[in-house]
Amino acid sequence: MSSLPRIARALRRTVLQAIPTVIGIVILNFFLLQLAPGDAADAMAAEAGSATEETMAAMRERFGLNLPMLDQLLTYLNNLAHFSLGYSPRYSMPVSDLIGQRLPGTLTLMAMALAIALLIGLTLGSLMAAFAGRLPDRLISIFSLLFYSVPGFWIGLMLIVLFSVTLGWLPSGGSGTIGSDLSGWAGIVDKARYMVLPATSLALFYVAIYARLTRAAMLEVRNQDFVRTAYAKGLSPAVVTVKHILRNALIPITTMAGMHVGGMLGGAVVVETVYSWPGLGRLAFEAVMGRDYTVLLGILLLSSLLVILANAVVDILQTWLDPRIGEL
Amino acid sequence: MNAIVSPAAFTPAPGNGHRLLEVEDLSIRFGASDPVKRLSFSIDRGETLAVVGESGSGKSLTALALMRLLPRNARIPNGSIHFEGTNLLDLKDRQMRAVRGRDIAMIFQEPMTSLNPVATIGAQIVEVLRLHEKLSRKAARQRAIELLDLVKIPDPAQRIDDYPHQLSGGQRQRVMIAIAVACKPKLLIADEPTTALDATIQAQILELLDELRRKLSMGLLLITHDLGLVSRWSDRVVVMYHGDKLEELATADLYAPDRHPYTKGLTQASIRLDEEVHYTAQTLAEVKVARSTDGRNIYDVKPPERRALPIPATDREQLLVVKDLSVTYQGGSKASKALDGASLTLAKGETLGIVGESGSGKSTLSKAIMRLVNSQEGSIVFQGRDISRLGAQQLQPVRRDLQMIFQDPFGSLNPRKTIREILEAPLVVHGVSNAAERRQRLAETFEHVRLPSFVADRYPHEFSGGQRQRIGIARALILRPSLVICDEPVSALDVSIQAQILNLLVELKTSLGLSYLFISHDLAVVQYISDRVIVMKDARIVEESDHRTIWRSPKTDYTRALIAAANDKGGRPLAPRPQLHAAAL
Amino acid sequence: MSTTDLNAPAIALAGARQGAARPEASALPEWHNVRAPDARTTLTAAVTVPPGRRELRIFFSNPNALFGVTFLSIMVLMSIFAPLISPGDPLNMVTTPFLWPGQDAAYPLGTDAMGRDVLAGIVHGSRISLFVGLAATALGLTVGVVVGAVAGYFGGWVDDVLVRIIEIFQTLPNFVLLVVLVAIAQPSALTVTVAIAIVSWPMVARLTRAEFRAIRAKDYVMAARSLGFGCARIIFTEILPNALPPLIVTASVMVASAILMESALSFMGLGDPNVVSWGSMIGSGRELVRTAWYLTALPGLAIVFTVLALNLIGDGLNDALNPRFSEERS
Repeated sequence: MSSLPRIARALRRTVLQAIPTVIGIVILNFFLLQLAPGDAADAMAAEAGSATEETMAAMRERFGLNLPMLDQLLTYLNNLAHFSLGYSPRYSMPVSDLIGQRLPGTLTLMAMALAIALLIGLTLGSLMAAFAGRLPDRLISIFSLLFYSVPGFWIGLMLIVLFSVTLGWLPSGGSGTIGSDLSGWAGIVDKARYMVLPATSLALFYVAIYARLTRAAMLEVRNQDFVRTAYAKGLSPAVVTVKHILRNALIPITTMAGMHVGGMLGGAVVVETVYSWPGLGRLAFEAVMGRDYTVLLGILLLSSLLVILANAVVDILQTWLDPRIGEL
Repeated sequence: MNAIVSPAAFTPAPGNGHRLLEVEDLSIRFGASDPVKRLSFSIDRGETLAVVGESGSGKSLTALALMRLLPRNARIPNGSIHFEGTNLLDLKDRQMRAVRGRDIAMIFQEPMTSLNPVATIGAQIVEVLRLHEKLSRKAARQRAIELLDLVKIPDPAQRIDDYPHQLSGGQRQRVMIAIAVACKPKLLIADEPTTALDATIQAQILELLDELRRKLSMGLLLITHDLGLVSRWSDRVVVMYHGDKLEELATADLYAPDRHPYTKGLTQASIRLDEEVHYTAQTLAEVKVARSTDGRNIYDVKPPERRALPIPATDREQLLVVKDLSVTYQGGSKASKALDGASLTLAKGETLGIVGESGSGKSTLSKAIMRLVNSQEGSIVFQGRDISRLGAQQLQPVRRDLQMIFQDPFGSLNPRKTIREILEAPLVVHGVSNAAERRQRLAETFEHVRLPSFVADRYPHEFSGGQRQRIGIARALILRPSLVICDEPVSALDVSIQAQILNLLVELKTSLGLSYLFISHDLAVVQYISDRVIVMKDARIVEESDHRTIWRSPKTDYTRALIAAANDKGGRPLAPRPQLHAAAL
Repeated sequence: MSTTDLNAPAIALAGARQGAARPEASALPEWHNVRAPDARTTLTAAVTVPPGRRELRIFFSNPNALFGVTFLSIMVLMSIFAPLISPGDPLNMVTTPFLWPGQDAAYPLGTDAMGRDVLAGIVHGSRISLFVGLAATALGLTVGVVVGAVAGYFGGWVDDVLVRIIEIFQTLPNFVLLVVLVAIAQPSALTVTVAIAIVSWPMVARLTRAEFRAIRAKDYVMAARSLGFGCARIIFTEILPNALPPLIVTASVMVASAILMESALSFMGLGDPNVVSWGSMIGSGRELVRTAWYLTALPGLAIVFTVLALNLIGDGLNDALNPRFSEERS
């Protein structure tokens, strides 16, 4: 039986479930925007330096800020439907364009961090499970707990002290050598050099999470009856681990990995500020500093949509891993 | 599939004659305790040896020891396991892996969890063929199809790509058997192979195992708690209790008079459908085991006692009248009926037995009568009053008279409360505010269920399964109800405990004037305790009759099939049971 | 002992205890339906141990957990007695700037760019970290447990609605939402606490709901319902005590993550501007990280060890309370 129809069914279910969530998030966003002190007119007036009451009123009229709440909500929804998240006076450009500029930076950073975290986390977790209760397990377990306890921004700064300031191996901030127009392999290496530290800072916390998760999942699966069946067939421990345990253990791990995408986005905010990485997080930081709520809420909305997208990907992955999902 | 079963494929092992497996002086140790002690037995080629014992007897550990699959924290301090002359305990891990699945194969109790849920059944059979027989992918797949056919999975060429969850429990156990016999093992270990299955399926699986044993001339080690199964399907029996082998005997001698008292107790305590034992005529035998001061076990049998209780009249005052009771579960988009138009009556002092296989709706029926499920239709007239529409407040006084005993003695007691708290809470809820009176009621109830009152301040985990079930009964009785619904009250218990609880329930019924709605999948148990019997299938009541008629002249094919399955399991014709007397050691 | 009227064979059971006796995790599987041996204690010999006592013993025999408890106790004492340990406002300039740790015995951890005592900052900073951590956890836990309990116990449309709300909050990236909330509400100890509670309750609610759903289906709850117990009695005496172990573990981890969130907020300049906090110390030290890296390293270490202590406690609690270890309880 092909798994495509199952995946299609699971995807449809995911999309249907996401609709009320998206609506809820949009409405929440709108109300947060209402709660924010001052409105866009205030902000623009502040930017302009001087504004009379009349020009303020005119601006409010123009942007519909004097309308009743419900009308404003409808305007907001209408704008959203046209992919408009508002206008940032500070950057003098639409918020959506602003976010669009910064999004790739954050996505690259997150993808890199996720890859590092999964790779190291799965490896450490499998090791811990293999040596459960013995010295290697305990040592790795303490280390993973330490990673779990370190604030990302602090480890970021410490890595800068060590690798940029003291050793001078890696750049301390930015996303590429300014003024250089490296291309091809050299360009990639240059980019990578700038990415190593931020991605590592962001990944450490998740290395700990995935390692612990992998350990727990492997131990759980290892006690299942079907693993005993596999041993009773005469399979070697290595084959049992790879063919029977790992695939089953991956199911809860993917769920959790999906649930942490939102957390990683949050982590990116802080890490990007440390490394002046031109991404959404840095934009959020600048927006906070400038009290630019339109931008801030635009980021919140967009990052939520990103999380929903990530959940959909996880659903598909899980359906593919677990034949029991999406059955009629 | 003839290629698989052709006798020519077998080369008899050189030397050693008939002896296939010789276990000598085997002990298994966990920390400071030995759950298996100095066990010796042997199996010949083509023979079926049953190891029978209740929980904690060490029978399953023994099976795992033969496969060298014991948990890492277990040790084998002494003993040997010679298989075709080689001591398996001396083999290197790699050598042992070559034995597993090829020479010795094993099937397990839980077909629902014993197959890898994310791999197709075909892949799981192919895996073992490729490992031991070094077949090509294509050849292995062909053999897998043949094997599925051998274990009687219909449409094997289609089903081979199914995942385990697409198969029923019985079919999954067949797949397990296919994996086990794939490499034509010389010894097949079956650890409680049918315990998790419905009676009708049980018989088919055992028949299949026996047929394969003959076709492939395998030795079969059958591990079970079920004496009926032993007497029908084995050649010899080893009886175990708490790690000790009590005796070894030919199956034909199982009911002979000079047996070990424990064996005797077990054979008498397990009820058989074809013996037509009824509670009005006799009590059930009870096995008693106690520790002597020098640490030895003392075994004792309390033999059945004759008695002549009257069968309650069914035309007396009706305690419970259920009409057209239906329950619908909203499962996602589609609704399914868990109970479909059930109607029944129960007279005062009567025991109404309800039998059915899993999913027949018998548990839903009991919960619906207890008003524990939502979305039900129909009427429930209890003590002359329709309780089906009452709100929680109005139900409160009714609940005092309508109580329930649950199946799982481990899950039915709150682990964080003492027995006193568990038993006093219902009194508090039902307005017995005087502490002295509550103490009095508690003592009285302890007396009823034969528990010493000094255990009141203990927590549930300190009791055995049988004791917990007594506590569960005490909780149901403490409000002095008139009707008790017993939902599989003895299914989770060992045979010896089962007899004690059934005796207790009968005693309580007569002394306290109770009525029972007794639900069980076990026909023999229902036959023993019921005055009238209802048979359920697919959420409906299919047959109802008095306790004699239903077994002797069943009206529906389904009931006949159930009876056949129950008889088939333990249906080897036996000599009339000899009169037994207590053999105190 | 002769045959008693307690007919069960070799009476007592060690079933409930077998988990405790079992080594923490054996390297080879322990199959579910193979029961470890019954210890042959008898009913009369059995000692009554209320549930909880054994867990405490396991917890306190765990060196990691013990370290966590000790370190955290020191931190708590330090925060309570901060005015005594280093009197005066930690934000005041006390001596020459940029004293390195060890340079002046009066200021063992040195001074920052404004001549403020780093040790005083760390001592006083523990107050805001621990206050926010504990208060936000208490608030988040309360809301989460109530919402989760209602959803899990009552089910039906109430559950549907609450699950939707939980889902919305779990979809919003926690830290981004936190930044937005604090930025809108203007940073203060109170707003930071409430904001952290707002972003952390959904996890508790989800967990509580799952626990309540699972326990609600147990036979002993069914029995309580059939005995006519009221909802409140069932929730508080039957379900909640059994749902507590995972919640206790979660609480310790929540305090840890609340402290991390507070420090990150302060680092970004979104902390209470009137009090010194570890995060804000790192924030003001970052500009000087090339020359005076101890200004970021030291408060960071305070965070790391406090959070580590809490996580060690969480792990210890998890090992002690993990229902997997006593099968009967699950």
